[in-house]
Amino acid sequence: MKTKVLTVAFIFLAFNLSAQKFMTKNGYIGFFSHTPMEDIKAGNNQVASILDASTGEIVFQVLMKSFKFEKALMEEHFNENYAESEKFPKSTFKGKIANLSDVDFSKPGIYKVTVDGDLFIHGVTKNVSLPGEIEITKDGVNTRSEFIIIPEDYNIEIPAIVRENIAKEMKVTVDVKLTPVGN
Amino acid sequence: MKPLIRNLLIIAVILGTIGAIIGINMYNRKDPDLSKVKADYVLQVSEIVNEFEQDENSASVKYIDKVLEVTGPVSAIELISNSTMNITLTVENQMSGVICSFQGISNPASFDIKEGDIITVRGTCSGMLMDVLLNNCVILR
Repeated sequence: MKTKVLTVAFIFLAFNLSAQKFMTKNGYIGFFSHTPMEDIKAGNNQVASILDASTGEIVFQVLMKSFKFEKALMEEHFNENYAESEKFPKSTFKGKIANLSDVDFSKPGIYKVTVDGDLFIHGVTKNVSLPGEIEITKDGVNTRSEFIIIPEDYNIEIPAIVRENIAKEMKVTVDVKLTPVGN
Repeated sequence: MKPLIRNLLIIAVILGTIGAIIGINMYNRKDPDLSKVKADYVLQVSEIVNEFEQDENSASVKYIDKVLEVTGPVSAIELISNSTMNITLTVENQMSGVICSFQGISNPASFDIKEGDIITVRGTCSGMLMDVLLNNCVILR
């Protein structure tokens, strides 16, 4: 139900063309886990994202099954045991640029931003404040961020048998290039 | 050493070695090359998009993790990195399409495809966001 509401909000944001909006369906979000035993890296190149430059509202949405791993077995364990991707197929971030007045969308450059919002993963929503940067280019807006998430915060349990292989903290990387829609 | 114990030890070593080889192979297993896999469903872009739009839940149950062979016109080509490319297939007048991700490609320039071309792609279905998403894709024609 929650994801339905977010999807509707996402589509509404995308097609309410009353203001300058930027969008992509080909963004990248990856995560990285490092332990002495093993490094695990996964990437998703099918991230949908909308940014409303007039309000600073920004939405990212991913399908968990679109995260690709180096090894097929890791991907199976991720989907079946940890993310439970059949039960929780989508993850979403819906937030707002806290320091929107610092960003001049008409002037190319890189702007440091903080984005406050709700991160929805594995059926759990948490209010987060994420650091990032926005790059204004002639083609649109590039958004980048690196932050840490703790799987346990989202009720993702790591069994004791693989505890040594999976880090308690995951580094998440966001790299999404959005292009103008409408206007 | 008694012959029985010796034979049991030999069998244990052989079984242990076989088990280790199977384990290592399973651990290092890559995604299958879909050019060599038979598709579970063969569809037009409009058919798969319509099914998801009409009933996302039942379409998800039917298609997610299945190998789909989808035919339709190319509406966008996005080079994500040197090894990943997304090709979107969209039918005119339809808001959503099918985004096909090609991972681990060695030479993106070898994709001799342009917008408007009608192509057939085989990929594993991940579900639907704003479009139906396929991964591990290969182009058939």
